Parts: sequence; structure tokens; C-alpha cells
Amino acid sequence: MSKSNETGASESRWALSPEDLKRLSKEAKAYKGESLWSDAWRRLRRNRTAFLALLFLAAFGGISLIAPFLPIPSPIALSLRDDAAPPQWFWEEPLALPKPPAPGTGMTQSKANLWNDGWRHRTMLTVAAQDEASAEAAKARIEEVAGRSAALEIRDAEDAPEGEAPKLAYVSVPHLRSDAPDVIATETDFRGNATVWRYDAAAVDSSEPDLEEEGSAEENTAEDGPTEDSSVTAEPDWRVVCSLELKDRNGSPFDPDQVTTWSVDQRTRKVELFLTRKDAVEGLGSWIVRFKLKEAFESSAVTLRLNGQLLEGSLPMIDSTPVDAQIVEAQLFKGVEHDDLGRRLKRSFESSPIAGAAFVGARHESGYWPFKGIVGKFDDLLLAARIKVFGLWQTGNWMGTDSQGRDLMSRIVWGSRTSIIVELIASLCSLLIGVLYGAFSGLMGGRIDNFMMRVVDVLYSIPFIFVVIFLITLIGDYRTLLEDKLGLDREKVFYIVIGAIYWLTMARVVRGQVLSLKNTEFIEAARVIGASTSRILLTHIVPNVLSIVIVYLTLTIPAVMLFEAFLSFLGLGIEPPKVSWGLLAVDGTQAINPIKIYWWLVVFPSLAMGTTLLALNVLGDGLRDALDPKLRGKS
Amino acid sequence: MLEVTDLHKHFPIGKKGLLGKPAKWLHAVDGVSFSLEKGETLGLVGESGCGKSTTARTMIGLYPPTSGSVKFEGEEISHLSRSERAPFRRRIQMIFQDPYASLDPRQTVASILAEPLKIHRLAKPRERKLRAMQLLDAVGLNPRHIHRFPHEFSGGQRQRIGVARALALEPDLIICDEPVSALDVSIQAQVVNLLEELQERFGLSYLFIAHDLAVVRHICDRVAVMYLGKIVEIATRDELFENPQHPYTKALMSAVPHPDPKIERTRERIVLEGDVPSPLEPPTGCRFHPRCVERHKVEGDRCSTVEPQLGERSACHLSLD
Amino acid sequence: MSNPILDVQNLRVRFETHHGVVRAVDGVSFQLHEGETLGLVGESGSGKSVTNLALMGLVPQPPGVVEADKMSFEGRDLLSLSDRELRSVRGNDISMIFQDPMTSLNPLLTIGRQLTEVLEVHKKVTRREARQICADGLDDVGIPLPKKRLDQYPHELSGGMRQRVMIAMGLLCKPKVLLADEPTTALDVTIQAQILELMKRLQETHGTAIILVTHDLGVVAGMSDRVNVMYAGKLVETADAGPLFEQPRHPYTKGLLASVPRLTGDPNAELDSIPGSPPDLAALPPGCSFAPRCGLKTDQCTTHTPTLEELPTRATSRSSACFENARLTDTLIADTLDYGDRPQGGSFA
Repeated sequence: MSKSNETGASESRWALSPEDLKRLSKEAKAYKGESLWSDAWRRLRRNRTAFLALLFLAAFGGISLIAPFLPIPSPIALSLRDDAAPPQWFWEEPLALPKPPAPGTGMTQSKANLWNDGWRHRTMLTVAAQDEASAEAAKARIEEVAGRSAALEIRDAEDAPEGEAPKLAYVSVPHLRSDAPDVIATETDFRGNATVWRYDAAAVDSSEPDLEEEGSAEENTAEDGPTEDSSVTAEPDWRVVCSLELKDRNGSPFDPDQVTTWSVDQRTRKVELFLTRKDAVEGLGSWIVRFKLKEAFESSAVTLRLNGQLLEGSLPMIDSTPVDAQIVEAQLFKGVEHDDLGRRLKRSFESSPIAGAAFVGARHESGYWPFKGIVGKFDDLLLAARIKVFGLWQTGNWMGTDSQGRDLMSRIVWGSRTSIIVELIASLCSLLIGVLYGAFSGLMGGRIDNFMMRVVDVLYSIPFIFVVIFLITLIGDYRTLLEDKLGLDREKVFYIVIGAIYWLTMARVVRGQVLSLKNTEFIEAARVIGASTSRILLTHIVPNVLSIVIVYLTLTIPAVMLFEAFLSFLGLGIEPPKVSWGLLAVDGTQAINPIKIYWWLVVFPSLAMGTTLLALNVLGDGLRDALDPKLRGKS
Repeated sequence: MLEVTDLHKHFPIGKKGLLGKPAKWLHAVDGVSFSLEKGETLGLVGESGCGKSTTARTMIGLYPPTSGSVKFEGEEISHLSRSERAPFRRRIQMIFQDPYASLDPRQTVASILAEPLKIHRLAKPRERKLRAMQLLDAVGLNPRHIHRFPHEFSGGQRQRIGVARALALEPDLIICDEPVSALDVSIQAQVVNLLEELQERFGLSYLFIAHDLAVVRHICDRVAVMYLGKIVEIATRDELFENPQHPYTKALMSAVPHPDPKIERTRERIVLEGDVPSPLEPPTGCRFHPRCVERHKVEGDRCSTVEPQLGERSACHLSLD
Repeated sequence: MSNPILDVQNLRVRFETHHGVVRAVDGVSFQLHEGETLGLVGESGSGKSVTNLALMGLVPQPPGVVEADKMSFEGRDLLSLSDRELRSVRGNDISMIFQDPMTSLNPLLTIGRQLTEVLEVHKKVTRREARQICADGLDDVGIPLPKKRLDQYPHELSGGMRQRVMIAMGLLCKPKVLLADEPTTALDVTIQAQILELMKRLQETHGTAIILVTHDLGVVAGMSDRVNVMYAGKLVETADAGPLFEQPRHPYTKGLLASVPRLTGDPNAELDSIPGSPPDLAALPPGCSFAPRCGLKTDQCTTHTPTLEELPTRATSRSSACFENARLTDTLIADTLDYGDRPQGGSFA
């Protein structure tokens, strides 16, 4: 209702009654106008090439955003190849990803069986070795203890005294799929032999006293494959290995098709059965879980689920009495826990030393650590989602691998993340600092404008490449100091520099626009009605320069991308093991040699970069046309 | 109601050093005085560059005046700060020339019309829209079109929106800066009629700036003719059009083409020589003397040496004598 | 009556845009005789400037498409001329004065350079001769110290001076037809009066035929022999200047004339105005384009498009595109008795 605070006399000046107004304001909703923005959007959509470019960029951005979700190999997971592998067609069996060992078949030592999950972790073991032979011997020992193949890299020790232990052997032991903690590995075999394991940190601590004994048992069983029932006692009790035997009411094996999966949670001591059908419950006679734990599972803690839904009231149907122990088969799974691997190796090196080799330490390297902290929790969520959706399946090397066996496709995808972050920083700086600075400067005019623009000139005159080189060198020397005191690592310096440069031109562009805008009549009109400077700036000037800003942004983004690639190419930008397109370009240039042509290392990164730059330029052009009010209504 | 006394506005031209003074001053408004009564329409006529728009913009506070005073109902308003000026802003509003440039293209009509209310906190947010619809209705636009954007209206309709914005604060005085000169003839007549109607309905006073004498004749009660930053003649409409005194006024009126071939082809016409001199270096004496056709009627070189002051009506040595 | 120097039949110009086809000029026919001044009147967007551009072959194609049954200059079909031939006509036989003297001169070249360029393109003269001709041309249009002006840049001249330069440039090659596109709109009235005087004088001495495009009915009244009134891309009325202003036939012409504020008559009378606003050329109403704003509208007007019909008058040829013509004809015969033969070009009072 219109309740005017004006006097009655002035109210009568208006022709429309409150009822009229009410009705008209309802009707007015049918006459929504089209803003210049929606008009521009409509025209952009009509511009087919620009719209395609927009779609392409959106798809590309989306892919790089959800990179952890995609079933692609880790961009930094090394395989033990010593040469770059050409692309494999996607119907080909992935070479680097052999099938996981079937449960019960145990580990083999061959390279082909190396199951490098990639997107998970590895353990880096450092050994001080006198020569290569001793390093090889140490590697053999490590492989023996870990029960799987390892990769060896020998480097000169940096601070080693003259003549003593000149080499450091780095042996990387990849985690196996089965090592993956917190993950229920789902096996397809449910015919009474399903194996489920979960890592339980609490159980590790409690198992400490058993370790001595377990060490020898490990060595014994490493080559034997799965342990039989008899060896269950030697099995470390924190490694929960259990099997489930289901029987129907008649005592014969339960129809395995009725059960999708089951899980045993050590922490809660609960067993869950996932059934396929509701009536399967009736046929279920008994169950038994064979395990070795300090506490037993409670039968009442067994829950039954159908398609993930809890089946209420079905618990009494289950007879949890352990049946005959003989028919229970426990599958031992021998995993490698990497902290533990370090301990075991230490012990192994102590008990049977290798000449010329001394165990230095073990370091756990997380597969994704370089990317943590940028998106952080979001990445973790995506990773969890990936495991839920794709399980452990991942693509082959569709674009080949680089010389260290890292998957090129995932490197391109992950590298585009770096590009996007750099672009985001540059655009944000341009938008926030550049637009406001330029608009304020232009609007104030006079001395303030003069001063503000001289600041921009001064910043412009700084040769930023040299600043970057200087800062990077500084960081190299005072790395720990800077990182500890200022939290300033190389990457942050790099981003700061990008941010510092890219608002300058924007400020100039915006200022120029504002100078021409501020004498337009609608700005004068706003002054006449008494609008404050900040109001004019934010409600009239900024929205009106935004179209130019957007066009300018789309055209600067390629420049930022190239700047990033250029600095990374020089070794001043992103550091390995992080990926960026600049680093891929480095790989590409190194791959160009007359003996063997690693074409995929050149072609795919340049395709990715080229199409993105092209799309950005096409989009910028289309946006300029779409946002130009003079071209409204024209082709 | 409004009294302007000896208003000067000079713009610096050319580079100035850190402390140095600008090389030249452009005397856009050079001693303009007039007054405006309540409910009256005063026309301010002149050619481009004569300072009529600058006068208006200085009066309303868009430019600070170099010297002189602007009094609104007896109170000096020319040297007020933005916040001090707020109560007067409500009472003096302005309509701009270019209907395509005077409305923010990114705002809907509703927000354009609600903005003054918002700034002066005149209505609750819900009521602002309703008031905007009232305003649209008052200027003869469909109030249902409140959510449209300026570019969806024609030039005449946009000018009506500009009028509605000026009306939003319910002012007493509206300065119309060439409100119809950018419009087509048929639309021009609509807007002129609208302004007259609104004047009656809301008791408005207008300062009507135009270069078109014919329009001024239709809407104004009194007319001031400006030439090179000065008023050369000021009179009531009937006096001015029936018996122009200043040679410039005569020439100006004679130059207006008449839409009737019979009159247009037979009437005698005063065609002025040359162009308007640059306001950077205005002529000495009477500013109009280099182009004046009646100069020979004045004895001696008074025209080129002595500057005639605006008397009762006209600033010309001929009429002052 | 001599042969027309310019004969245009059914000229159509359309622009194909995303918003649809904009028929900027839709079936315009007229003839221009030697020494005659044809006024082309209409509001913005009525297609009068586009008509001029089409005559000059300056309509950007695409998006523009120019078609005509006939568009001939001294018997040569302008539409079938090659680019090269068209260039020799353009600027030489037909020249044009643009509306905005501020932007139609190149700010980077001296006046002399721009003027002599026209001569160098069309006439075989030496640079010295060209300079002399240009100085004479500037003198002709009343520019003092013409030789000095030749070495000046456009920004050193005032608006009126620049428009004079433009006129001088248009007349340098002694064209037979001068297309003047709102030549005085950007100028002040006192300067406008000077320029109009100048154009009349030059027409008398050179015998140039002028097409004067303007929205200012006063200018047309003073300058034109015949007047074509355009609305939404169509000719709605064509008549000699005298009868048209005395007795406008088409409702639009009537409304237009009534809405012009004048220096005579009752100043307190409310101005008559045409309600509504000009239509969007991309979405013209069906039937007569003027119907939505017309006071005489009938059902027929919204369904059928009226064509330009010759009105039966005694002495002058005039036509109007309105269904009400028949009703108005009787009075018209009586009205036009006052007028004698149509005035000849250049014979102003």
C-alpha cells in the first residue's frame, strides 16, 4: 500500500490512486525490459564462433576445476619407465596400469605388476650408498621388505663430506591400491571369500608389541603369497583381515548373488551386509566372521542393508554363532604401511647390514600434496567422490607419458589449473584494484588523478621480469626465512607479481573511460539529484565501464597465460612437481631431438594452449561486439 | 524566488604548472544577472558557446562559480558544500538536453526514478516504485513500463523520463537545458506541451534554455538573450518578440526560418557577418560590435571601446542613449 | 519541361540485421530537374538521409541492399555503373555536403590538401592550378583570406567556416547535382542564415540542382521548389513548396506543420503535436505506417498500405499517400487556384 509521508495536498497532485498503483505494479511485471547485459548475452549466443569459444572455455575450465574427480592418473606419479611412452588408444589395455593382483595371488616382483595408484602416495626411502652396486643392493633389500618393485634414483649428496657416502639413493616405493587407507576396497568375489580391510589407526598402536615377531613373519611370507589359516597367528592384528562365510538355514553356502557387499568396521565393531533382495534375509542362516582382534564383534552389531537402506527388525533372523572353524577361510592380505616400512627397513638394515649402504630415512610423499592448500578440502571431496564413482579405474595414457612416465593428459588438465589460478588472480586484481583505482582517479580528476596516474606510471616502468628473477633468487637464498616469517614461497611471489602487474593497464583503460563518461549528462543528472561521489562511482560509472572491462579482461587473460608459461619456462614460475603449461613447454622443447621424436610431448600441450588462446581471443572479439551498444540491432 | 547577481564562470585553458596560473581563461559566463519569480518561465536564449548552459550548471552547483551570487529564496546557495546544498537540491532540479545521454543505460526506469528518492530518503523502498509509477503517469508514459530500460524507449519518451526524474523530488524550479532541441518536431511539440501542463499542475518555475526562439516564444514569460557570456537583452516575451531592441536579438529573430514559403521568401532578413568570436579573447567594448549591423548608428568608436551595461532591457549603446 | 537530370523510380534500401529486415527506404520515386531544389523532409529515421546515400552509392553493402526500378543520372543508370565509373560521377557530377562539419573533414590534413584532392581525382590540373581553383572556391563561399585558409587545419576553423569549406568542396567540380544532408542542422541560426543565403546564391550562379535533406520545415520553406515528405521510409506527400505549406494534404504533413513552433500567431496557444512516436523500421505496423498516430485512421488504414496517388489539381502536380485523398480532393481543386505555375529553380524572392 502506498502510504506517503507527503502531505495530502501533494498526494492529490498524482493522478493514480493507491489501488491503481497496486494493480499497475502487478501488471508491470509483464513488461520487463531487456537490460543491456541480457541483450549482449543474446547477441553473444547468436555469434556462433564466439559462443562455441565460450562453451569450449567453460568446458575446459570445468574439467580443470574437477580434475581430482576425473579418473585420470596422477600428474606427478612416476612410473618406473625410463622413456616417454607414446599415446595409447583408449581401447588399448593401459600399459602402465596392470590389473591389480587378484586377492590371494599375492604380490609379484615384476614391473608389470606394479600397481601405482598414482593419485595416492608413495614412500621415498633414502639410503646413503657408497657406490651404485651398494645402492642396487639396498634397493633389492627394500623391494624384499616391502614386497614390491621400487624405483631407484641416485644423486650426489649435497652436504656429504669429501670421500664419504658421496651418493644418496632414493628408492621410491609406490603405494599399492590396497594400501589406500580409509578406503574400503571392494572386491568382486563375494562367494564367501570377500575380503574387506580398513585401516585403523587405533589398532596400529595397540599392535606395537607384536612387531618384532611380525617382521620375520613378513619376510617369510613375502614370496609365498597368501598365508593360509595356519599363519593367521603370525599376521599383525592391526591389519584386519577377515572373511565372511554365509550359510543358509540348511547350512549350505548362501547364494552369493543375494549379497552385494559387506563391510566390517573395526572401529565400531560392526558388520554390515548389503543384500540385493529383501527376501534374501529369510534364507540367511548364519554368518561367521573370522578375525583376530582383541575384542570380538558383537552379534547384535550386525546390520543388514538393502540398497544402502537399513533393514529394520531383521536382526533376529541372523544366527551369529560361529560355525565350524574349518570352513572359514581367512584371507591374509599383506599390505605395506609406510611408516612401518621405515621401521622394518631400519631393523632389516641393522640385523643384516649391506656393505656400503646405510639407511637414512623414510619419507611419505602424498600424491596430491602440491595441490593441497589451493582448493584443499574441495579437492579431498572430489577425490572421495572419484573413488565412489569410478572406484580405482583410471584412464590409460591417452596422450602418452613424459620421460618420467607421468601421464601427459592429466598433466595438461592439472596444468590448466595453474593457468586458471593465475588468470583468476590477474582478473581479480584487475577488477578490484584496477577498476576501482582507475574509476576513482578518473572521477576525481585534477591533482588526485595526476598523482594516482603517476603511481601507475612508476609501477609500469618497473621491469617485472627482472623483479621476478630478483625475488626468486632471494627466495632461493632465504627460503626458510621467507617461508617461515612471511609465508612467502616462490609460488606466492609469482602470484603477487602477476597481481601487481595486471591491474595497471586496467586502471588506465578504466580511467580513460571514466573521463569520457563523467561529463555525460546522466552523471551530471546524478550530481544534480545529490548523489555522492561513491554512489556515482559504484552505481553509475562502474556498471557502465564494466562492458569494456570484460572485453579487456578476456583479451588480457591470454597475455597472463603466456606470461605464466614464459616465467615457468624460464624456471621462475611454478616449480615441479606442480604442473603448469609452461613446464609442459619445457618438456616439449627437451623432447625435440633428432634421434627420437616425442611428438606427443609437443603436440598435445601446444594444442591445449593454442585452442585455449584462440578461444579466448575469439570470445573477446565476440564480447566486444556483443557489449558494444552501438552495434545493438546490427549484425 | 531565484536571484542571480553578477555571476562569473571562467574556465582555465591550457597547461598550468605546479603553482603557475593557467595561460588563458575562458570567460564562459561573464557577469550574468537575472531574477526569476515563482511560477514564471524565464527563457535563456543564445547561440552555442554563449554560456547559457554554463550559467545553468553553475547555478545548480555542477560547477563552482568564479564569482557572483546565486540566491534561492533569499539564501545564498552558490558556495555551499554538497551536504549543505541537499535541501536546495530537492527544490531545484534540471532536465538535460540529450535524451540518449541523460539516462543511465544500465538502470531500469524504476531505479532511475527511485534514485533521487533514495538519496534524499523521501520514501520507503516499497513506495519508491509506486512513486516512480506515479511520475511516469504524470509525464504521459505507461506506468506499466517501469521495469524497462532507457534504450527501449524512443527519444521523446526518454525525454519524458528525464522530466519525471526532475519531478521526483517535487522541486519548485526546474532548469531545462535545451530539453527539446534534440527531438523531432512532432515530439518536440509533445514535450513542450507536457512541460506547460506540468507547470500548471505542480506550480513549477522554469528556467528554459534554448537556442530556438520559436520554442521559447511558446513557453516563456520572460526571455533573456545571451551573447558571449553576457545577457544583451532581457524583456517579457511580448515586448521582446514584438519589439526587439538589441541588434543581436533582431538578427537572431530574423535568422529563424519560417515554415511558410510566402513569408520566408519575401521577408527581409538580417544576415550577420562572420562568426561568434572566441570567448577566450572577447572583443573590446560591446562584444557584439564586430558583427553588429547597426554599429554605424552609434557615434564615434564607443561600440568598440565602451562596454554597454544591461539597462532596463537591453545592453546596447543605441537603446541606452 | 526538360528531361530530369536525376530520375529515381521505386528506390528501395533495406538493411538486413539480426532484428529483422529494416526497410529504410521503401519505394521512393522522384525526379530532379536542372537548377531545381528538392526538399526531402522527415523526422529522424524516416529514410531521407539513406535516400541521399543511396544516390551517392554510399550505402554500406552489406548489410545494406539497394534496389531500384530506375536510378539514372543524365540517362546513365547509376546502379549498373562499375565502382570506377561511379567514382568518376561521385564528387564530380554529384557531390554531397554532410551534416556534421566537425567530423566530415579529416583533422590530419590541411584544408588545401583536402580540397585539391577532389580536383586531383576528377580533373586533370596541376597542383598550382588546383590551389588557385580552391582559393577561388573558398572565396566564392565567403571565406576571408582564402589562400591562408588553404594551409590551415580544420580545427583552426569555426563550425560555420568548416561548413563553408564543405560546401566549397562540394562545388569545386561544378557538380550538376548537390546532395545536401542537413547542411545547417549542426549550426547556429545566424550561421545557418549565412549558409542558406550562400547556397541560394551559388545555385543561382552555377545552376546546380540541389536535394536538400532536412527536418527543419522553415529551411525547406525558404529553399525548396518541390518538397517530398517522407515517413518511415516512404514518400507520403510530394508537392510544390507553396501549395504544400499552404494546404498540406497528408495527415502527417499537416501534423508536422502544426507542431512547428512559429514566431507568428498566438504564442499562448498550445502547440499541436502528433501523438505517439515514429515506428521502429524493423517492426512496422501493418497497413499505413502512420496509422497508429493518425487522427483520420479508418479500418482500411491498418490493413492496406496506401500508395502515392496523383491528386487532381489544376496547375501543379502533387500527390499524397492516404486513403482519405478522395474525400479531400474536392477542396483541393479550389485551394490550388491561387497558385500559378510551379516556381522555377533559383527564382527566389
